[in-house]
Amino acid sequence: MRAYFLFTKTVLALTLCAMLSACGYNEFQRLDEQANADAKELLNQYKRRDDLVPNLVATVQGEASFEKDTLTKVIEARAKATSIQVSPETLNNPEALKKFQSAQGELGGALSRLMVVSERYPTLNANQGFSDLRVQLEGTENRIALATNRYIKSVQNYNVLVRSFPSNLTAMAMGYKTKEGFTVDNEAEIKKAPRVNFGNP
Amino acid sequence: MSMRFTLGVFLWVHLLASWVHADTSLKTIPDYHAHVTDMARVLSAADRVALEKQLADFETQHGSQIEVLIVPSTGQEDITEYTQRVGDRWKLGRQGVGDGLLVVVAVNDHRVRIAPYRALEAAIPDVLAKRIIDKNMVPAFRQGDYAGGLRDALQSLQTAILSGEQPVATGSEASQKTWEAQIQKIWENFVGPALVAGFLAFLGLSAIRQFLSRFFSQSLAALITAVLGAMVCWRLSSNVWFSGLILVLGYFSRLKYESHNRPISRESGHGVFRSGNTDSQPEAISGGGGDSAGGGASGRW
Repeated sequence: MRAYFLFTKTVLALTLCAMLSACGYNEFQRLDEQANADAKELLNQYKRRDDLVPNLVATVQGEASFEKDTLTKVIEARAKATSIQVSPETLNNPEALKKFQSAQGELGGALSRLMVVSERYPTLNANQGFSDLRVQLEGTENRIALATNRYIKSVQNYNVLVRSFPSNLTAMAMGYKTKEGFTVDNEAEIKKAPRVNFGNP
Repeated sequence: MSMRFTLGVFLWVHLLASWVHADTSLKTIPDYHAHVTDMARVLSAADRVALEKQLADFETQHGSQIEVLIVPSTGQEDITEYTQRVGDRWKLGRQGVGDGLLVVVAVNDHRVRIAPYRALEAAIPDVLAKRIIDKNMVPAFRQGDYAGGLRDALQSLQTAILSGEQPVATGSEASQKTWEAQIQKIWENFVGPALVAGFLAFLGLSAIRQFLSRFFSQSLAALITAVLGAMVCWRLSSNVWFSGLILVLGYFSRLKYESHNRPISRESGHGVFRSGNTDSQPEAISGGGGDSAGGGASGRW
């Protein structure tokens, strides 16, 4: 009978759905979306920092005697960082991710150096515009740190699901791979003991 | 007995160790129970009530939830991190809007932080928060006037929230969108193709089975069809689920013909389990498991 045939099909389809949800298919979708959302947020925050830099540079340039070298490094790092176009999808590509990370890490380093150097310029510190920019930069760095943490965590959740049983069977069947997470961008620098130099800064 | 004793001692030592360990790590976050939580006891009762009222009135009138937490110290943590942890735990703001704002004062550390939740970031940008701290809080706090500093700062914050772009409910809408997107994704990626492939496979397998049943017994033909189908599917897609589906479908492909061949008996409601190929019955049950397996068990031809 036609009705009976339909019934059988429905039951089979429902069984299939039940099997899928039991094996974490939906969980894969949820965690994947979560990781993508967190990646987008992180990229947003990096973008926000990139946008701050021109204002910062313009303000600092007003200080005539400012160290040219430090400023140039920031400008160059920013140019390099913005030249790399990324989307959450390309973050799944380990090489692109590495390039992006090192460029952003370079910019972060150059910026923090700039901020440290700027302490030596009293007129700059008294400048309201500059102190506003400093606050914005701090806030952005904080947001980047937080977004990075969240992204790392959501990637971790996803990867745990990919590897643990029984969801790993689903991952195998559907071809889901573990995602490449973020790593600390200046691992080598952190491992080096800090050099303290009181002589000539 | 002694075993239990040892175990007990072991557990207690473990518990104690973990407790001591916990004590040296991060500061615990107090539970949320009022607009103003003064752990450092720097506010007088009257001041606290006044601040409570200021915040409660604002919440009832305009919706945004502002909370103050005063602690003696944030411990080893930076106030930024501590505030973040409190904020993540308390989850302030209206549901679906998320317009919360958290003010944390660490008295002995001499640190304060204003942390707007995402929905209020536009109304209270970092620079404004910093200015409010510098203008309203720092001078008063220096003189030990915590209540006055907080009152003025909260007033400024409330003014900023009102003059800024009013946060609107976007959360539920956004979540609904992702929910819809997810359903669509599941449909596009799996259920849709699976249904189509399943339907086609069912027809194809039924035909093969019918052909095979000329040479083999009913159940053997079903088995061969199922295994053959699954093997082909595995070669083609190396996908476990699809292959498993084919296996099941192949085995049950008889259902179609069965129902074609005995419409009257089904409709009239008797002789559902006709005698015929009795040996196929138990196999049908073990293969499918559900109700449909029972229905297909009779195997008339």
